[in-house]
Amino acid sequence: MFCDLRLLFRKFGLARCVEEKGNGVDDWVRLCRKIRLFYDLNAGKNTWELIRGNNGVGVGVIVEHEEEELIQAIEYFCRLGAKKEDVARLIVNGPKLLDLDLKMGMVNVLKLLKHFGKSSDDN
Amino acid sequence: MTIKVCNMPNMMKDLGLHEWFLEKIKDVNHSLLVSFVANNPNAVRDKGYLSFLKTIQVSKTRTHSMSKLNFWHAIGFGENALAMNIFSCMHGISNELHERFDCVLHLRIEFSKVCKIIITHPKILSQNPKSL
Repeated sequence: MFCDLRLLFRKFGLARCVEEKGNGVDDWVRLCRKIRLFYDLNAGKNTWELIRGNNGVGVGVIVEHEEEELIQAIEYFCRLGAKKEDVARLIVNGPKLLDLDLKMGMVNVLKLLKHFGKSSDDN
Repeated sequence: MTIKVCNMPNMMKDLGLHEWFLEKIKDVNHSLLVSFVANNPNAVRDKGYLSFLKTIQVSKTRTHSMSKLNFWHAIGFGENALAMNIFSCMHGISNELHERFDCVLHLRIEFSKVCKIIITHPKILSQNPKSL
């Protein structure tokens, strides 16, 4: 884990992000709690690799989104029956998913299925 | 038929499509879902459903019926006027219904099958959990 943190803070510039945001103890705690979410999802394996994601997208996800937002998205995709490590990868690689309005958003079911390539004849 | 985004995971499970759906957002295109929600901001809700909603909102049992209705949607049923007949056959407060629903799930019946059973025999959720 310390190896993961060292890589994330130094090599991937997370330390710089915290320093720019104020460098307070709270900023560091907040960031570490977010890293921990992904550490837990991936059962402690290769956290730095996971967070780096494709071309470092995941680093932005961790810096820009609050812990609460991340937790909500994680719970949402877990409810779909996804494996924990898949959920972690999904969020790190698809930061747009975090912009979804999970609470109030409303969708038309048939249109949605069609949009995803399911025709009404399929079963 | 419309559904809130927050209830979508269970709806996909009802339809037995959650694995398919997950593969789509995982492998094909992350933004497929996001773009859909963004491009369809005002989903038109079923008129029959809305009038049903209005009726229960002015009824004396408003709080009770609304929490029951929220349970109905939370297990993945959409906003559909036809299904409201089935909904009306279900008796109990939302906590009890939840308990009974979980009870049926614990019998290792698949999620989508439990939902089919509810549609054909809504009274299954009127039973005491012990007898279930």
